[in-house]
Amino acid sequence: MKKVIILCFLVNFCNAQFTIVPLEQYGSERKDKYFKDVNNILEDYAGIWRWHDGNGRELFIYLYKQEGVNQKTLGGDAYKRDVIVGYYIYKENNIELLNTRIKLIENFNSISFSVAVGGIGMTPTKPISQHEPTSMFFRDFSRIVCFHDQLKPAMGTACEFVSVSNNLAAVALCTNGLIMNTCGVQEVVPNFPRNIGLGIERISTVAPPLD
Amino acid sequence: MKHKLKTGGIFALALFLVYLYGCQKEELEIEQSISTKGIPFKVEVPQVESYFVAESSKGKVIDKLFKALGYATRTGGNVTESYETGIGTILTDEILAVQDVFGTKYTFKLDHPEKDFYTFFNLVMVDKVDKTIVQLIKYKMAPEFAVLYRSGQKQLDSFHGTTTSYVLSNPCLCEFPNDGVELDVIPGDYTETPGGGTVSSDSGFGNDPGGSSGGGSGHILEDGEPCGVVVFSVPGYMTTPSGTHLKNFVFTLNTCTGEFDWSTASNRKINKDLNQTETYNENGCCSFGAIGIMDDNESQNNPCKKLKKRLNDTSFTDKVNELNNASNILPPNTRNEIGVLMKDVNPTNTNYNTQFTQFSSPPNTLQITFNLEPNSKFNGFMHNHFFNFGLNWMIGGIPVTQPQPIQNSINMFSDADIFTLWTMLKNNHVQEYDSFLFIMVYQGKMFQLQITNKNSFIDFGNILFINQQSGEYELGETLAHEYKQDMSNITFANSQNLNRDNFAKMLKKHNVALELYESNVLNPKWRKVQVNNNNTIQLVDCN
Repeated sequence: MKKVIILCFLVNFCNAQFTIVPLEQYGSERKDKYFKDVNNILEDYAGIWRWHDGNGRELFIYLYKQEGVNQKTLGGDAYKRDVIVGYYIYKENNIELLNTRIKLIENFNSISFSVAVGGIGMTPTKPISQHEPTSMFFRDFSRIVCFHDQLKPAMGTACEFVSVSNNLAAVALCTNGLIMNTCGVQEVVPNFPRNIGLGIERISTVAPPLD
Repeated sequence: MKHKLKTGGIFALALFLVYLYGCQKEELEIEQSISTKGIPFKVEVPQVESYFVAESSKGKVIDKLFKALGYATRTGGNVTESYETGIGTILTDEILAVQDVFGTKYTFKLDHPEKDFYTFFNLVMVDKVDKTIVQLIKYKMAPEFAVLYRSGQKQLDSFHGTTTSYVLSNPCLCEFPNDGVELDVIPGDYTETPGGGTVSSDSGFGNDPGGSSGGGSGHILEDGEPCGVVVFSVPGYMTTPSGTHLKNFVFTLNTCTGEFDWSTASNRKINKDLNQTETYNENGCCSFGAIGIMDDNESQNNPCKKLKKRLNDTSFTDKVNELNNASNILPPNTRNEIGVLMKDVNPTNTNYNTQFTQFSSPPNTLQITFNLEPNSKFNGFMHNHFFNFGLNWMIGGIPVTQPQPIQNSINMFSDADIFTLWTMLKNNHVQEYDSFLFIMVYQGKMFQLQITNKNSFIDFGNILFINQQSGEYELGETLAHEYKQDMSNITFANSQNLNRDNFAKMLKKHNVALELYESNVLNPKWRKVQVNNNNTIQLVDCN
């Protein structure tokens, strides 16, 4: 009985750490708040999005809503938010050259530092119908950077996701900024459509389960 | 020959005094009425005043030094930053002047052949109107102090080591019993106190109403100067590169005997039983008072000085202009980001001999990829940003344009830039953190991100840029959130000045251990973007 009481106390204490606030109210005051998608605005971002160049290159972006992700401000204040996480598959002439699904699966329970652990992530706070730009965080697994024996996908400043309609958006998968290497850069997929504007269409509102 | 003299205290006093005031020009002159034997007595004790000699006056001061040393007169009216002489290179980028009751003393840095990690040299010129005394002073730091000082953990006001003076010019025929003698200087006990100017007197003052320096005790020296005992406290208010300190010294000077004593507010007496010394004796011509001390320790230099010095290097300014030209190109012309690694190869005091290694982005791409050799160290990295709006996108191979930009440039340092600086520092690619140039050029302006504290900045990045699960370096999204969504408001749409101000505020708000400096590219003049305590921005000129 004593253990149960203590456990209940701990659970209550933990829950009491974060006050639930609608995601749309995300702002500068975030300490101990949970910005929850109470109005399901993230559902409109989730699903499968496709880009193609009409010449054999295809990109599929699989996006999922992830709830209660632990985050911290630059000042160290803890908060939670609902986010969009995802992975991508790149094909040329119907041959799959890149698939980052496993990255998302492997890191799904540890998403906090970066929502783009699977290659793609977003933190929108406005309904897609408002066409507000939101950063599309991206890890470029088509370009592996070797830095002091660490092999990492290229990373940098993100570009934007801007919805044109509920099922059409313009994005750019960017790793802007300075990318250093000490032991080379491997172009895994040279023709990957990075750092250019892409029009993506939502071909499904639901992405396949991650197992 | 090592002589453990108490006079080291005097010397230390002089050093500390000047260091105390070295960053500001004090013009306080305090009068206090002193009652002695019922006779009103007024003594004026001007505080030590120190300042760097103005450019317009340098030539005259240098000429005086050269004349005293018997060197040939300078040719040409312009003052250069250094002069090769038989005793080493006299550096004249800064000449420290110290004024007190004993006159004006000028301190020059000297690039002496024996200069090394532990040792530096000054030339001190004592200007006695018609006579000029010049001393060469050798400062040899104790090994432990040198390590701490060179790494920026200690300041000169806690100098520990030895000093040796050599008289080079002595027209007053002063006696210098310690000439060439190595004297110990042991750091005193400093107490931080809130300051306020006070002057007090000891008993035994004479009735000299004239207020001559030092007052008098009824004695008249041979040269007619009145003498006496002066006790005065000087609250020092010093702003050092590492912060602000308040200190309080109490001096006792017997101008009749030359005895000198000093203590701090903590009342710890140091250097009792002083005998007449070479700096305080009965000959007015030979009383020096406080002298300045200067070192060109890179870790002690303020960023302004280093930034200014770089501007004298045409290879640097040429490269800045090149980056600026790249940043000025607008769509639909092809634009590039250019990155330049800087390595100073055998730099001298007048020439950095910088080796530039240049990288360019793909056309119209806001990204530079560059290679570093694993054990390489650099003195700087600079790059440009360029304007990009990014409206164009394609679907099914068909170009489409819509009004919301998706690939925005930024006229300020980006989150990736901060990550890069941290990564270079963390992995020992930075030669010297406090002189490292990390410059971004954008359309007529250049900005410098100055690392103010190596460990603090590394600690900041350890939390922000290391994945807690994998331990790998990652540019997470926290900083991006701060830029765009967390009210720091550093965005594509903002003016450069607004982004500059918001960026500086962000650095301060989160104690990032970085400071921002800016300058125009044309007619460059660096200014620190200072965030005041009320969160307002002040642009402080680098004088």
